[in-house]
Amino acid sequence: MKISGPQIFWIMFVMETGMTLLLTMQPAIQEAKQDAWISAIIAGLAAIIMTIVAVRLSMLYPKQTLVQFSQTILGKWFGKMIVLPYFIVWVSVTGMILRQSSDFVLIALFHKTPIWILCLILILLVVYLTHQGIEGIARCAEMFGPICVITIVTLYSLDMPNTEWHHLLPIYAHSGWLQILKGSLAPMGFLGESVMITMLYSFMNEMGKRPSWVYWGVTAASFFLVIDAFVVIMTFGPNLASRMWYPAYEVVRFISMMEFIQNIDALVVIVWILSIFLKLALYLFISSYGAAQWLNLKDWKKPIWVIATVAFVFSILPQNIVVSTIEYPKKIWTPFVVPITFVGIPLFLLVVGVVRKRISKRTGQSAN
Amino acid sequence: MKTQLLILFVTFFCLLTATGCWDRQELTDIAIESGIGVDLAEDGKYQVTLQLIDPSKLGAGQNGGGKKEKPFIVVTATGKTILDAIHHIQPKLSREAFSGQGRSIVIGEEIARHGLKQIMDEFTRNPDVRLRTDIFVVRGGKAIDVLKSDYPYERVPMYAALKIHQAISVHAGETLRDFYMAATDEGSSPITSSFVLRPMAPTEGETQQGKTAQFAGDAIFNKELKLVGYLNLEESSKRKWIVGGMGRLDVTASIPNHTGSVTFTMMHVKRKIRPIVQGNSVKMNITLIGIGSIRENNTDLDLTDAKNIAIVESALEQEVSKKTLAVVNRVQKEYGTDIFGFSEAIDRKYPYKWKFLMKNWKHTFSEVQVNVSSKMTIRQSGLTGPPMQIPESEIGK
Repeated sequence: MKISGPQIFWIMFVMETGMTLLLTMQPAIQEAKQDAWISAIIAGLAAIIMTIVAVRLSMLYPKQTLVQFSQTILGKWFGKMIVLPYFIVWVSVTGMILRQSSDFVLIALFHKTPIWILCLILILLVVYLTHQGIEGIARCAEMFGPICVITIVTLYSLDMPNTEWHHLLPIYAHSGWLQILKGSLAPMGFLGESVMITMLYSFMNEMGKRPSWVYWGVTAASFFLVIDAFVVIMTFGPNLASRMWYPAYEVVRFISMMEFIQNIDALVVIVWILSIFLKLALYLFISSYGAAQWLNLKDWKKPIWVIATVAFVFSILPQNIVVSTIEYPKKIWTPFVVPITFVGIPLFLLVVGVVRKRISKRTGQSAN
Repeated sequence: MKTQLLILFVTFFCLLTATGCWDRQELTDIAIESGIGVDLAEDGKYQVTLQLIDPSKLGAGQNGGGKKEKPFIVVTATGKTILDAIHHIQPKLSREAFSGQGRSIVIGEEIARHGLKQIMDEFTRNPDVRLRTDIFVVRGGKAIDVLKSDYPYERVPMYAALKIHQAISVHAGETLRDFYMAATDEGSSPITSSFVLRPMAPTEGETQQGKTAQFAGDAIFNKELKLVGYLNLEESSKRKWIVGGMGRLDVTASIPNHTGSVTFTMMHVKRKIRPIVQGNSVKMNITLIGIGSIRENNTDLDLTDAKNIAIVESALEQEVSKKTLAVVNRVQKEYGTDIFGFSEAIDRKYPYKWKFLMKNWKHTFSEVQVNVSSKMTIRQSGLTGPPMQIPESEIGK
């Protein structure tokens, strides 16, 4: 299984765009008011730094995945222990994304359908895609990516007549650095999911091994987030936007071009579903593949059904939308997942790995 | 073989479940709301009235002949919340009321004076309802009367109100959003449009019959979202000019030393607001800019002469400045509600001073010193220079 450079670009872009645009704008505006676009820039920069660490780490052992090189770096037992948090995160977030996406589809389109049906159909489709392996996922990303870009750009251009730039003013006066930083936490948590590159890097072909493809993917997603912040604030102002569940969705619902092009909110659902679908498949793939490597299974496809079932159960557990869409990102993702699995462990592995390589090089040289 | 079976299973599963049939709503099962009216009922409840379209009768009009049936019905019920009332309407309806097709919101005057805080939630929380919705107050009347009234041009009368509003204001669909934006702002007060129910061409003896809803200027709300007063047509166009977003606008001014008036149609309407804050005193410099052409000239002035153009321009400027200042001063004195976006202008220029001004804004707003200046530019004067209906000797030079 090999993936190319452009494919990894689209994977990163599509995976990050949908959820980040729809779900992170409200918490960012709530903290940073009309300066949420600065928060978005900071979040984008932070995500790129996280990605650089993750890519550098993967480049130490370019033929191994996170599950393998953690054992190479730290030894068998400690290496296996340190990736355990990743499995917990991957499986739980698969369930949570499943729920969040179904919540949104329920609100946007199907008011009467039971939520578990939406979750079940989506997870079955995702299982099907994951069975094709990373190549299938990558081809999907190549197809979805341009669709997402065109749709988002079109929708934002159609919203231009509704915008008023002076909603962005005054800059900085209503927030302050602390609030701008706080506002960047939510988008940072979503954009930082690019650290899953540690599991994908070993699949990349020679062209793809150039890390700039990955960085551009994250940069493109961050760029769209900044534009999203501008559009949302200029359409609704910070007060209204901070009280909406899905400000970006409301922007599209508000579009009315010459009383003719209107009621086009279903387009948002398309971008949303494509992005979610790809993200779920990626998480399911890396957790199944990782689990197979962790347990020394020969067939990596075997854990798919187990993990899918666990994720499905996890997705129907939350009682309401507040748990899935607000509390999980705020109380689990931002304070624990981001610092530990996105920053802490990769950084630790990188430092230890670099030091070990230097030592082995030196001893190697002296042996010669 | 195994995978083929699996694919077959998944395909059939999707066929059965993913058709969307769960949420299907046939067109013949829904009643599309064209308007929703809210009035105050006795014992603090709300009386909600729906105007519902009957699509089958909409098309029948083309066949012609005979008296056409009304393509809409009006139903009403009371409840503790708006949805509660709609649930009480439902037993009277054979179809489910559907609110996702751009209905207008009509507010009775009594409930507007009583306050809108309790009823404005439904219009944003309900996922079917769009924020792009028209909202207006019925001046001196009840919402139900407007919803019941007929309109000769439009088969669905609520569309008439919407179209009238659109013809007058470029941004009619943004009224509801702007209402919420002003309501959530610390300084601004919201407005809606107002409509009045009266005959199109009133004559003696003609009373109840043939009344239609007509645009009648803006309705002013205070920070408690209670209706406090109205602006008339001319005043509300001046307000619109100050807050921005005017499309085209007519101004008529009489010319000093010449009998008669001139009507000036502006195609480019702009404005600048410059606040000056010194301590606790606030000055507001408003500059109104209009570029357009003369459309009617009842005076004896020859408009091929640049000197006369200048005279007309200055007369127009005086008229605009005077009238606009009068509107602002009246609102300051009578209502004390900031419906001109002054607070936002101050916030943008003096964000830190605004935080102090904000606490006492209601009082400060009434004390703001307002200067209005205007700059009218006449680019064309229609197809004639001097008026054609008077002899050469009478043309004023």
